[in-house]
Amino acid sequence: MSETKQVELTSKDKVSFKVDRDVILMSGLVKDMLEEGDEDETPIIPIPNVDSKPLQKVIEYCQYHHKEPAQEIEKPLKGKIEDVICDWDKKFLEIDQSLLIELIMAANYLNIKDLLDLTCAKVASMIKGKSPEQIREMFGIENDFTPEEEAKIREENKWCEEA
Amino acid sequence: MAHASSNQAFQLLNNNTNSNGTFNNVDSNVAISGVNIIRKTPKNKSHNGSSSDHIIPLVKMFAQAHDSGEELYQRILVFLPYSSAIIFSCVSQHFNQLAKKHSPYIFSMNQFIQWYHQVCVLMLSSNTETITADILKKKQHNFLRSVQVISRSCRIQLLLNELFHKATIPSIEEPKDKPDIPPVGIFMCIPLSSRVEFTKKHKMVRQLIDTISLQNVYYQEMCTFLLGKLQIIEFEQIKGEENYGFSSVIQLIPDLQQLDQKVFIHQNLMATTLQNQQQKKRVTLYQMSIGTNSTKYGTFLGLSGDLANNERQIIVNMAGSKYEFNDIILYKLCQLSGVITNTTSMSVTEMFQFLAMCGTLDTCQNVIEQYYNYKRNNLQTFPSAIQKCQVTTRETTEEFRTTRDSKKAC
Repeated sequence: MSETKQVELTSKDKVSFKVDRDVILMSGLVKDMLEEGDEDETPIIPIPNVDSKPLQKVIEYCQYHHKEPAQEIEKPLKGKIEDVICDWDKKFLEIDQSLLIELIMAANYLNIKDLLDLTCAKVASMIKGKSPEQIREMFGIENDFTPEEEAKIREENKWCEEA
Repeated sequence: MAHASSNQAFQLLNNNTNSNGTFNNVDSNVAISGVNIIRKTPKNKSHNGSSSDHIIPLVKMFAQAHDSGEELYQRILVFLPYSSAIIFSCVSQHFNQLAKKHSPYIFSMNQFIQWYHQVCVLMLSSNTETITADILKKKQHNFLRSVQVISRSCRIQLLLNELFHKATIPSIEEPKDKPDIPPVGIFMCIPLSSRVEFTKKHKMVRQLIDTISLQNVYYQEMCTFLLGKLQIIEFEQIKGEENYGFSSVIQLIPDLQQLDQKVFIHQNLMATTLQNQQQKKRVTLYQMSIGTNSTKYGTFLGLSGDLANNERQIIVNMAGSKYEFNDIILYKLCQLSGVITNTTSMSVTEMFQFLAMCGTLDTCQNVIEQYYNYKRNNLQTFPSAIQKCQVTTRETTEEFRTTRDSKKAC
């Protein structure tokens, strides 16, 4: 029985993670890099844009969904995201907002579509159903509409808010 | 590796600030402030109005994603339903632009607005009718309002989701030569009577509307039948928007493409709510009856015999009035006969069949038969010429009230 090949990922903050090659091939970036590189015993791949904490989460995600392929999330979300994802993903997303955003960035950088969809859907679910004020508050977005512009846009969308 | 707490995470990230670039400054600010990232920032604003010093990761980090920043927003926006995407567009100018650019729903609505202006221009340039600015404004207002009313009553969010959101946004940039007409779905949100009214205004308007409407052959044809044969009149404009009379027809538009689809009844709910065995039997029979010869429904289901005299009279009265022919009455009809519950979903075909089997609207049978004949004969050769819609002039509200009051008095 052949030994499982591994890959060593080095995060931005110089933390190393050894992970099965088959698992991390879920990342399009890593896959491309491995195809280009030499057949080392354990290739070391620097991930300079991702810190250790989100990278660890990424690996965690790949390790699970390598065996349990993620289901496509409905677009748009008709209800709560929790209703359309598996229990493991629910638990996986129990993270603070800061890490969630880092995870989106990491998934984007590492080109892991399912993880990117999951995390973006999570952010969308945080936006869904909120008022503009609540969204601004949640994400620290400054309202740069003039009072007149805001009144106009409110009036235009009033019917929608009443729906 | 142990799972770090959020405070530890902040500390870890804070420690990294010295050796790393701006990426971690965001986190260090959050960490220093020692507060949850969900917070208001006005007191932290600098004098020039910028809040960049205390910006929350979503904005800052996506800004650092450079070229892929917008792509990330797009990925988020495709998960937002119509109403949420609209609200998201109200957050700030920047997000307004992003939402308009990346939300399929807002994009569609923009198309609709453009079309709406186009229609107004056509109305204004009409030679067949002199329209003053005031009348035009009123017409525009009424038109838009009717769209709004019907949109609400149709639960536009769900409708648009179904009709527009095939998978995801196909591309950010639409082809330049794409006709400036809205998708069929938006058009369908406009009440039938409004559409018919518009077709009367100007030849070009009529062509425009028919062009769109013809994209759905069944729908167009069913509208003709509904308007021409049954003289169904939109209920909202007579009794106010709190009554969603005609919405049932509009709401069931997708079903028009599946006229042969069998009735859908929430079996589980039925089982728990229908305690009367006779009612259960009736439901079963009704379900079995779908697709059978409609002329035998009354006998087959024995509904007429089941109803008490006064109930029968109520149904006749309600169904006999064109103004009362709406989903509320349909619901009452069905409820009285025990066929449906609140959550039952009926297609238009089923609605007709049900009315036919009630024996109160004999013409329904003819309509159904004519429709199916038409469908059989013209499915492959649907004419490109404009279909003629014969619409009986609606009574004014005052006339309606007078008629209604006189009926009550009787």
